[in-house]
Amino acid sequence: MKNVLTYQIYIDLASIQKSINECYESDLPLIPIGFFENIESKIVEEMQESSLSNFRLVPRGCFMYVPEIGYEYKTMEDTDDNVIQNIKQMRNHYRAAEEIEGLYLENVHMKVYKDQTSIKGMQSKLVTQAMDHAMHDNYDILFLVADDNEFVPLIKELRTAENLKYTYHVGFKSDQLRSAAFGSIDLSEKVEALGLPQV
Amino acid sequence: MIKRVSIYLDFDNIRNGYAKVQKGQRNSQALKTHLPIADLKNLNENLIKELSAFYVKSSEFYANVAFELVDTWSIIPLLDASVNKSGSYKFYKKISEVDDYFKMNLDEMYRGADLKEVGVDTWLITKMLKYRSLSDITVICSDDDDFAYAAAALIRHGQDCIHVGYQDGLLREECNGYLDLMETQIFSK
Repeated sequence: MKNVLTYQIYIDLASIQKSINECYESDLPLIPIGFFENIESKIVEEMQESSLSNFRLVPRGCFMYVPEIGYEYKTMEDTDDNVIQNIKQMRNHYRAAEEIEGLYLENVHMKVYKDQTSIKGMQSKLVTQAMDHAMHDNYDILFLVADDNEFVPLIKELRTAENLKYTYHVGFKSDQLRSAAFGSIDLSEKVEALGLPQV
Repeated sequence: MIKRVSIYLDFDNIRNGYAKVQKGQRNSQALKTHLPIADLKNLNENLIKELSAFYVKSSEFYANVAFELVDTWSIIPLLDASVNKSGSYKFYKKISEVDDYFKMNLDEMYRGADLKEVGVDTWLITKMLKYRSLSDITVICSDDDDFAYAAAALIRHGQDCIHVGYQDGLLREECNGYLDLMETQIFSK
């Protein structure tokens, strides 16, 4: 009988979207929902070839962070309408992913300033929740679907935590993140399988 | 009775807040003013003093409570030759030299090619969550609302979370209490 390892998947939409755009050298406005339908099965498939293949993997949830229009915008005079429209569009698009079993959409209430295009709050909420679940020992393996070096401290902390966690970087690039993690899954080799159009 | 306190200082964020106050221009983008080293040396002591006064003001129960510092966490950029001529380099070097005085768990962080620090917020958040059981009160010195999620998580865990900063925002709202740096003597005016 195989030993059991539990896992959680965390998806940083902002950096993955950026990587996909760079990969295609054009704007694919939003990540196709098929990506989220396939990502978990591709990760599990990949793990069957890894050093953890002797373990039975048990899912404990997949989390992605979506910006929500917070009450604070309404009072801000210099808010850029285009930024708000983009966020509304993003929100409506990713809402379809709520239908996927085991995938949870986490709202990020944001402040949006004129000319601001980055979505910072998503990273801090992801890191907070991943650390919180780790401290409660809710998972053994963290799969971080992200391409942003902002997450390097999270990976380093989990690798040296008292209740040691296996950390996997799942993404298209971000060498620092990849080298900090225990293992990695290169998504650029799985473009078609993930439901993304061919490059 | 003892209340254990951990302090997390988001260095550049507070430095920016301080500089804006010094220059009297709240929306200025280019800010060079540095936090006074003397104030940094006394930061722990003065923060504990202000914190104690804050609690006693809220309830007489705290008159007999001792506030004990566990740790102060902060992070500074690790600078390379490309920026070593700047005023910031001299300042950070000075901090590294005196960090024994203000007893911080300083870590260093590489700057990206654009001289922007990467991972400062996430570094602080991981420490807050990791060491949450070591203290009863977490003090977050920052005006960055990104810490609001960490504050909420710590409060759910049963901690008190105190915001120390210049701005009234989401972070202050999420915390159990706050010290407004405009009204304290922690950093010289």
